[in-house]
Amino acid sequence: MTATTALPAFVPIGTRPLGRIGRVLRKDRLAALGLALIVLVVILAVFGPWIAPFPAQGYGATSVPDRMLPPSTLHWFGTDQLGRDILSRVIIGSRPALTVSLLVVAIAALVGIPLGAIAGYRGGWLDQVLMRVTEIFQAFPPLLLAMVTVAILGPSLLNAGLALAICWWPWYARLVRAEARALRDRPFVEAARAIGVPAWRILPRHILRNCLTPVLVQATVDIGSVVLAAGSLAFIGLGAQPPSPDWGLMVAEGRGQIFTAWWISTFPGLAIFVTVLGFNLLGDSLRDFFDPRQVKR
Amino acid sequence: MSTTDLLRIDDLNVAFEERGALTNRPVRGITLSVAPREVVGIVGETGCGKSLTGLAVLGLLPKGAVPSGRVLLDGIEQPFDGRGSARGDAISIVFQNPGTAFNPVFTLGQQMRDVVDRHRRVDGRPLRRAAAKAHILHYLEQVGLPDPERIYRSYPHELSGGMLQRAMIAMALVCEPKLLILDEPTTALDVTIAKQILELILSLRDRFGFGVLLITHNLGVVREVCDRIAVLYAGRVVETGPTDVVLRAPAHPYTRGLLGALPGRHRPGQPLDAIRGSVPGNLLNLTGCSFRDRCPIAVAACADIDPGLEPVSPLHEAACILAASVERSRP
Amino acid sequence: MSAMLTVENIVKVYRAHGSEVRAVDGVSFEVEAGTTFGLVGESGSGKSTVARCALRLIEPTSGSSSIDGQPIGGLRDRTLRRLRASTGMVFQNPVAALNPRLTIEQSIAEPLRTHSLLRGRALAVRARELLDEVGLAQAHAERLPHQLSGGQCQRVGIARALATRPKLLVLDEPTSALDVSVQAQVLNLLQELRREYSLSYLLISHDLDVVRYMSDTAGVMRKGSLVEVGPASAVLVNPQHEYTQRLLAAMPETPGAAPLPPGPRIRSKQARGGPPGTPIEASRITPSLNENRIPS
Repeated sequence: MTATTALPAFVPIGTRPLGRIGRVLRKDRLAALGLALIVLVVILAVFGPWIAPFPAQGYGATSVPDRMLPPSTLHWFGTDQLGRDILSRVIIGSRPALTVSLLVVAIAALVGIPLGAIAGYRGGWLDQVLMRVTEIFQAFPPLLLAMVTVAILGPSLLNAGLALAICWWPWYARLVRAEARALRDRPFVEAARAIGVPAWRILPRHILRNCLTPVLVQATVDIGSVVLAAGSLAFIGLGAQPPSPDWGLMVAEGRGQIFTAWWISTFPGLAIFVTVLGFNLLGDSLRDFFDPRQVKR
Repeated sequence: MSTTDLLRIDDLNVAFEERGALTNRPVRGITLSVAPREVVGIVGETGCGKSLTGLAVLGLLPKGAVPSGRVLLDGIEQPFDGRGSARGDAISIVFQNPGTAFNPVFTLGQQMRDVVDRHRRVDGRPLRRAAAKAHILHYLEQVGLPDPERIYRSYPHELSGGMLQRAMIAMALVCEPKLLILDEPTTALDVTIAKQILELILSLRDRFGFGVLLITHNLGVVREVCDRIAVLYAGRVVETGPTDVVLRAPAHPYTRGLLGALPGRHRPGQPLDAIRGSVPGNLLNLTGCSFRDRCPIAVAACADIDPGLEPVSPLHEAACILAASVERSRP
Repeated sequence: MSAMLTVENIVKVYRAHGSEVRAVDGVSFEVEAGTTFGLVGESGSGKSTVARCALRLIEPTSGSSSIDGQPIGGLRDRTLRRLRASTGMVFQNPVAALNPRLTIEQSIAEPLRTHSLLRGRALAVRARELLDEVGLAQAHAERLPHQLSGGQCQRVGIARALATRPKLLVLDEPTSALDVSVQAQVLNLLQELRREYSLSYLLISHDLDVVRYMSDTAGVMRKGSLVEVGPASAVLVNPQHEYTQRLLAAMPETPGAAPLPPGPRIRSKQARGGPPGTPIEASRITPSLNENRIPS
């Protein structure tokens, strides 16, 4: 007697992600766009020195006779006050921008996630202490914190990154803490305790595994946000210093000529915009991608 | 089915489609009726299509649903998209979970006012505030809630499950409907409260004269309040008739299986007559009887014939080619 | 026969906003080895809380319990956790009781991994065995919980609870979320397993029929106290206590369990132009506002 309920063909876990990526990208045009933008920026970051038409100028070599040239076939983005090709500088500048961003988000996440998970799961005084500490950090305007850090350590991209990491970790801690608290009362967590699973196993296996999605989404979007924040710090002189091709710094450098040589500020600004947009779009669609219920029935 | 039926559902089908192709057909030709003042129960387990049937009557089908067939209220055809329909007015619904059916940030009075404003108009204008409130208080009292004034001013979280269910019934009655649909009205309630609610429904029916369509999976509930029942399986009515007749002498193997599975009918230690297998997942391309793979008396012919409802005795019908012989062999 | 589970004077008090709620107010009972003890009550009666206190999944405010003669009150965390290998628990919401990101096999194997009883190949074999014992196809092993039906998930929950060959199973409303026919399959399975492995069950349910069918001994709880205890056939058929009598009276009679009385059970027969309605007896309704709804 065969059952009419034939078991639907299932796909072993290993091959699922690739198939799903293809499906998601086909359905979600915005996600595809986001991914494309990010890939573009990553390619620039990795292969910058070989792609840029005037790599030396990307790093700071000047060419004063060519100063303030508008965009043309030779200089797609024009040149700045010191004759440096803006396109090359934008391309070269992608590497530090992306690297620092990734580092900041990585540090913030690595510090914030475990703290938040433990506090959220355990509750009690540990939770209270963490909450107060994060509140202290969050109460500081990031700019102020950055200024203090930089004042102590000196202005540079690295120090700006450090300041940003200090500002950013509390958000991850609170995000994970809220998720952990909600998960703590779910039946499957209670089931794990009823089995006798120790807390140090419950946390990674049952709690973290199920709350990483919002964190990953947040982290993805944050990479873009940090690019913007680092750029802002550089803009006011607290981050990367000249002659670095930092995008924010370039925008600041072109401020005075915004009406006459608009291209000096605009193109680096656009670069920041494109990067942030790409990560935002991708982040939004990542949520669906990581939902275990999206696995074909 | 007589022409004076309050509600008539004619060959209702609800399919779902995605990107132009049909993915499933959870309701496959349901025909039933409710006479004025009658309480009709739709009984079935998960996946039988009973909730969708209720939604179809109201015109509340979800996106992607493709309905066909007719729903007639007092002889007037009701549109499936809910436009200009009797929804909320001549037909009211009470949902399963009273706690989540109300908006937590508004008082009950405010929410019921919304309903009254929408459906009770005099000369095209909504009732004045005092008149609307009096109207609502009257119904809060009718459902047995003490101190209707206080209930009117209360928020949902301030009331117990039983009281909220009464309030939801009051909200459904405020428009003086001709047909009241109840979707699992007592599942979320304790047994003692549930009994009070069922008695309330009956007495309200006596007082106001509306017809009731009760959707539930609980056979005990239908026995308490229903005049007639329709048993659903895999999107079809497989048996229908007066409640005591169907429950005392079920003609369809599925109904017999459901009754046989009840622990209340067995002595401890006696294995329950569990129906083996499970409901077919996809109802799109079924051939023959949808129950045959789980049926203890299936024969070869069951694979070829898709049985319709046939009379087993006056007013009692079952969709099984063997129903008549089972009836004959009944002691 | 010795008792598999002894519960002595368990009290659980919850304090919130200055007021306190006695979810469990001095409950004692015993589950004899190889039998089923059914704890029945409405929501808020404390039945789920007392079971969790008995296992020390929730710390009782006072009182003690012993599992297979071993008192568990004073045990240190580590020892208590190791003791969990001799108990199993099955939960009300079958799908929610499984980690949505673990495969069925991983969920079933978790107790074995936790207590380091088996590993590698032997672990996988045992997990497959358990799937078989609860009547699930091997193909389900690689699936995720949301791909299974409620009944199938509950079988997984039972398989997981049995993984370490416990002696006592706590069943917290194991079939409340399931359809009648699925409930029958699960109850049959539980009875079979109990016989085969000489298990003891603590069954919690609000459904008197289920408790009456499954239990040897039954206890009725109301607002934190045990109001009546005794053999299930006595307590749930011919109760002594007024509250149990009321519960029994309120339960809809199982269709077919007794011959239907002549004329309808329904109070008023529908007729065209029916009789004038009977007024509601307002005195029967005694709602209480602001009931502290503590999970039972």
